[in-house]
Amino acid sequence: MHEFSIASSIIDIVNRTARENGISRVTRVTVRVGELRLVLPESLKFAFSVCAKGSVAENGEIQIEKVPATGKCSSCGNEFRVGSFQFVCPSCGSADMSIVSGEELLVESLEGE
Amino acid sequence: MKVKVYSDILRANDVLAQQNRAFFEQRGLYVINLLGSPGSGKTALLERTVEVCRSRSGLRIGAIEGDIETSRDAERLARIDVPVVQINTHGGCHLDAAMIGGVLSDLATDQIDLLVIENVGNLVCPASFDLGENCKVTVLSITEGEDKPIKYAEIFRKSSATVANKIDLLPHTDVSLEGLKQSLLGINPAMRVLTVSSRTGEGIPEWVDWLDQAVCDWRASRPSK
Repeated sequence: MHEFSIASSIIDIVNRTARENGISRVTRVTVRVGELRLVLPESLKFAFSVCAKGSVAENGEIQIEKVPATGKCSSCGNEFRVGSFQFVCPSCGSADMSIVSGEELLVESLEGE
Repeated sequence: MKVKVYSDILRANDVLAQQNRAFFEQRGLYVINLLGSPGSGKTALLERTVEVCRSRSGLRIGAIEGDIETSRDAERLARIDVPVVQINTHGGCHLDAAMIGGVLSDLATDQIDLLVIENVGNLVCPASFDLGENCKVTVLSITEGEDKPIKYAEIFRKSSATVANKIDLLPHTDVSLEGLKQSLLGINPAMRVLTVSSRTGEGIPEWVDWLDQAVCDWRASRPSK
């Protein structure tokens, strides 16, 4: 959700980073998106293409790395994939767990010249 | 040329939320982000909570009301002498930290122990935007059905408590309160589930006791000034 707002923030980060590194044309932006963020990749790609117009990333590609939701059980130490938003350890049934991955929403890198 | 960035995209909101948090902390305000569907009964719950708090615990409640349009909810609270500020998003579907930051100077902080930020009615977006609160509480009308929690898991995963409201309407539905509780605890086992009717007052004292305890625990954990 809010893919346009997210794309706009990505472009801000890309503009700033490009400026700091003397890059005048960004050809690719790699973004890491955790599963728990409820972001639709196709919507984000579209939003990016719109928001990038007039920026240093115009016509650049956005590469989205999806990060699956995983958790770690505090009772037995098992690390597991969190499926269908069921936050329960499949090994011991404990619900005392923490999220290990799946909440990321960051610009990982960019490429350009 | 490739440049590693590792920059958090929602960082702007998180930074502002931390500023709000520091503001609340300095003034000894315990803050709840009150969430729920449109029509779940957030404002009515707040009205009833204020009434019972005044007689049962002495907790002084203040509010920030978030709606797309109108100041109707703020007016309802002002009528019962609650220090309240209204935010209209004019189309925005959730409150964000910047909006909260913009009204901090309008809050009568010396008259408030517990600040309730009533978010825009929405079970999706508000879950992702930290406002600087101590915890999130979601209001769920029992008329919304037992499977609401698994359909909108993220907001329930992030809530410290869920207030199942409108229990006076149970006889008119096929909803099982036990089924609803199991649905909620399956997503967030640490969550406290309270069952209330803002209309009849049933369950409100237990909800007020939970609020009271949350504020007491927080005050006890703060470094003494």
